[in-house]
Amino acid sequence: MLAAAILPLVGLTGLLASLLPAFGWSPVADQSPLPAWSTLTSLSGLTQMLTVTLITGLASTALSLLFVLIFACCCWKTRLWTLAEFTLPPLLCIPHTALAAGVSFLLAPTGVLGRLLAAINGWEIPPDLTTINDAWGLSLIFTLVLKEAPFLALMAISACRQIPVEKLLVTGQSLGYSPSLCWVKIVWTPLYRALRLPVLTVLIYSISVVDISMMTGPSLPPTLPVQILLWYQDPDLLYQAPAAAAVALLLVLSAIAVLCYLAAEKGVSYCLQPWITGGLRHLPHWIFMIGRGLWSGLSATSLGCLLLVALWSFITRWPFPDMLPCDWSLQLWSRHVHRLQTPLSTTLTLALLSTLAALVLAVTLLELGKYQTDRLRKATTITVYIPLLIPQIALMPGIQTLLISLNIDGLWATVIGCHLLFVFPYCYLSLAQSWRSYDARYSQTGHLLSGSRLRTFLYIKLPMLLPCLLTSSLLGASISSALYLPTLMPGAGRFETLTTEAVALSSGGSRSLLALYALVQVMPPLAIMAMAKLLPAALKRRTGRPLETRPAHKENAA
Amino acid sequence: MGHQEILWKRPGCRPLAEPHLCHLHCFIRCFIRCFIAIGVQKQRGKDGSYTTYPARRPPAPKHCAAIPRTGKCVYYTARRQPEMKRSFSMRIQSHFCLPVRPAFNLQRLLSMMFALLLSSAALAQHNWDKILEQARGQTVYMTAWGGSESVNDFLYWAGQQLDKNYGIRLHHVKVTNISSVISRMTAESRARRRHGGAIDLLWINGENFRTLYSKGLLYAPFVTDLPNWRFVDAQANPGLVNDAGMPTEGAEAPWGLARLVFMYDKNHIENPPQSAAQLLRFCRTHPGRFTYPAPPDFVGTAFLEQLLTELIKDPSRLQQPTSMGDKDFKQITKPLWAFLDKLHPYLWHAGHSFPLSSSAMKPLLNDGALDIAITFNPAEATASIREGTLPASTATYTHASGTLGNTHFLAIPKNSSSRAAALVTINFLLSPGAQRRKANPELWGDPTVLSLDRLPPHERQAFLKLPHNPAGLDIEKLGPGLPEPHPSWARALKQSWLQHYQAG
Repeated sequence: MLAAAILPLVGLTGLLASLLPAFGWSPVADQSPLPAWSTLTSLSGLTQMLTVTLITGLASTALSLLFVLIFACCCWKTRLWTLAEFTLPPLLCIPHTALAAGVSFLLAPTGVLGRLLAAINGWEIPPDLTTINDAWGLSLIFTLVLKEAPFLALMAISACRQIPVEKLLVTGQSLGYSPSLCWVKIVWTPLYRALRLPVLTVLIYSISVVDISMMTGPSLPPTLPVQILLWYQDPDLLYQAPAAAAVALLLVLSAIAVLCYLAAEKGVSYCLQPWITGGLRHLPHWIFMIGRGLWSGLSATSLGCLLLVALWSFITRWPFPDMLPCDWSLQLWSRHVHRLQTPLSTTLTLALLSTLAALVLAVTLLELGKYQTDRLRKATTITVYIPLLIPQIALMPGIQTLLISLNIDGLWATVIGCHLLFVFPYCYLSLAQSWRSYDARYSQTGHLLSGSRLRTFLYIKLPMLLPCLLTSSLLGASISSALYLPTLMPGAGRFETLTTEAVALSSGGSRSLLALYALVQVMPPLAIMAMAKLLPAALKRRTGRPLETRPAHKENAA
Repeated sequence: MGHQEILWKRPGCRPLAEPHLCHLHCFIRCFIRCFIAIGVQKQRGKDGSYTTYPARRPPAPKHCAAIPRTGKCVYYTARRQPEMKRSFSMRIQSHFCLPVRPAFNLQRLLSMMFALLLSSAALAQHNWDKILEQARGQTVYMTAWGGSESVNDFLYWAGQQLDKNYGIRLHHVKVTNISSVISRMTAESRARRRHGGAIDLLWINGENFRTLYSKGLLYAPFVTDLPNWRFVDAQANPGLVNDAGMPTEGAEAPWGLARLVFMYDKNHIENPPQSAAQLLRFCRTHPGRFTYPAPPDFVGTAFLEQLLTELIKDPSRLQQPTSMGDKDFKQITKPLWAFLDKLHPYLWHAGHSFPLSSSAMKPLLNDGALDIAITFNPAEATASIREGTLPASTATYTHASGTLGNTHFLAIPKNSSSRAAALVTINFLLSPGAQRRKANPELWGDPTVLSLDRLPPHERQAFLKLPHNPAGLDIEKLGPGLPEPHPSWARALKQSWLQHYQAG
């Protein structure tokens, strides 16, 4: 309980420390030479900047959600669904920057598509077209959808395990609805309810993302978070106060986006009400074929981008009009492999420790939740969510100042604590669902037979929920290993992780190096995923007890 | 004297020999030891022993187990002990490996008198020995841009050498932008952290240096204490002690020279433009084939300064401070904005978007999406061809009237926890060997700051034998270097550029 209270508190204090310069108190500069708010409001192109930031955030979230709807409606019980269950987790482990690099190599005039066109038209030099970094953020939306749709789809898959999908489908079909329409009209509503929080997270993330935005977003003017970063990086420290004001503006913008989203949600449900209850029982089959095609297209693009990135780590030269690289080698790998050991072990240690701490905290909190009132439980969920709702770029400078003044920066515990700030909410939220749908009667029986709450918990509940714990640890580890600012700033540069190396190297503009580090960055989460797959089987063999791989929703529903 | 013999064998300790006239260093050391011995004698305890602080003594290394740990034994040097945590007198004792002797003989007095007559150079050498000994076992966290493989490789090599020769561990903290360090250091000074700062060594120049130095966050002056400073001819090259028009006052040591150069693909263009006017003509005939990094990127800002220097009649005004509000700033920069207004429609993406950094231009040049890329490293093309990030037909050029040159420096934060090791590291990086390796176009190709005629003949020969810079420009072919404008110009130009073009 205490830790759960402390984490949001740290988050809020950090935010406060980031925001204070906007109101005249600066922990860094003695006194701000530039007035915070008037500098911000007189920034040229501010209106366009805010519009583009808001639109890209909302559009990418809406599109991702649409793709998930398409996926759920069209792909249930097809090969695509099982394929998604396998391919989505590794897809999620891919660092953002790698995906953005992949997208830019796909879409840019000199990219794969450009080369195809060049081969057809016989071009020698690439056309000067603005296909990425366009002023309206279309390429940014595209990248964000590629990144977020798989995340939401994975959330949907795990939510489907909690919802009695089969039962609803049978009921719907007995009323004469076609199976796909059953999904749209009946199953989607409870599924959406489970997806709501992740969707809001995605929305906030898309509004406040820096790295993807820098690579594929507009440059003149950039999006608001990029502008904040540029101001924080100003060598004269002139812009600390305007940057803090911009952070406040970003928070307001996020709030506006959430309100817009909620309003749209109301509007859509109001408009669709007549259609849902209107009695339409069949839709032409081709609509679902198109849907399936769209989803396959999205997955293929996503995978294709990653394949391109993987390919680049072996390519030394690939000049423009050529369809195939002219020079392959393992040179880069052999040069870098011995330098990867320290970053790899630091990344793994940080990921494992912070995930473990997050899981222990989350499980404790969830177990204690049984004794809480409903209102208290709701309050806990909201406070847990706070660090996720604040953009990292707004949080970390304040936290760094805080840690420095407490003289606890550069310690393992500090870095793990800062990772926990971001890992814990995800772990908690991904566990909460399964914890709630767990059938308490198993524990009751266990308690009756053993007479010990602890033993019941250890031998009945925990093994039954082990798959959920492992999925959540995978999520936690992949988040921890991708954190850049929360490693660099509290770590005082003492902690060399794969992500800090990759980000530093990517500033040099070498695609092959970026690709190499992106591939290596996937390894820690993949290792944990492999563990997540193998551990239940190993445990099963050892204990000889059959383990329920999915929470028993059938009994629950009955 | 049995136990003294053991003492001599300890690592990190120097044998206490009787003075020999032939060994100058022995002499000085002996003199100072005696001097301190007299001072320490006053600390004689009640039991007659001389050395104090037995409680805070670090545990003996295994091979020293034979040494008695109390009584008249010396306080030995502990390896890899943070120097800051010990008191001053303890440091002195540990440093000189002091056998405290109650007796005081004539011979030593004579040697003292002789030592007093020694020149200041010898004393400096002695000071340096002291620093070397302090540095042994310390760790240096060097914050430096980590985007270039050549630079990272060079620092990796430097770390190996420092470990081998001086017992110093060098950690390269790779950052994307050195200015992120400034807010950290300011926050540290705000938190009154006078020791134990997170950063020991910085790769820095220009505005970043100005901010840190004006806030008093840098350790200064130190450069003249470095033994290898004797190879630097600051009088012949004032750029080595002036950072973007501001005197460095010994707060940062020059490490390398940079020059704004342009890279192009020989297969695409034959005669690259040689001036601002020619560049405009080139862009008109080749629309969409040129761009520059958007300010606030420093290469983009330097490109604006280059254009301004070429376009105005009296570039000497650029050496004086300015600000955006100045009346003559508008007047002076008028030709620049007029030029850019004419240039932008013919740029890449018609000037509606720009690369965010100079390194983002390299892939574009590689793919043939651009004809010209800008960089601050004259050997960048050579290194990139080797890495495969640019085609083999890449070449480098500068404008006929010269291009902006600047120097990049190394500085030590005031609150560094291993200052001695940072000093030794900088001295090593200024050594002819390290500078030669850095200047080698096959490894990094960053021009040296040492002046060749001050080097010993064999070192000079080695420098002259360095491989040729095939795709880049050798130092003699770089043409005249234009002085960098006062840093306030960079800031004003950045702000003004954003006002003109940010709105898209």
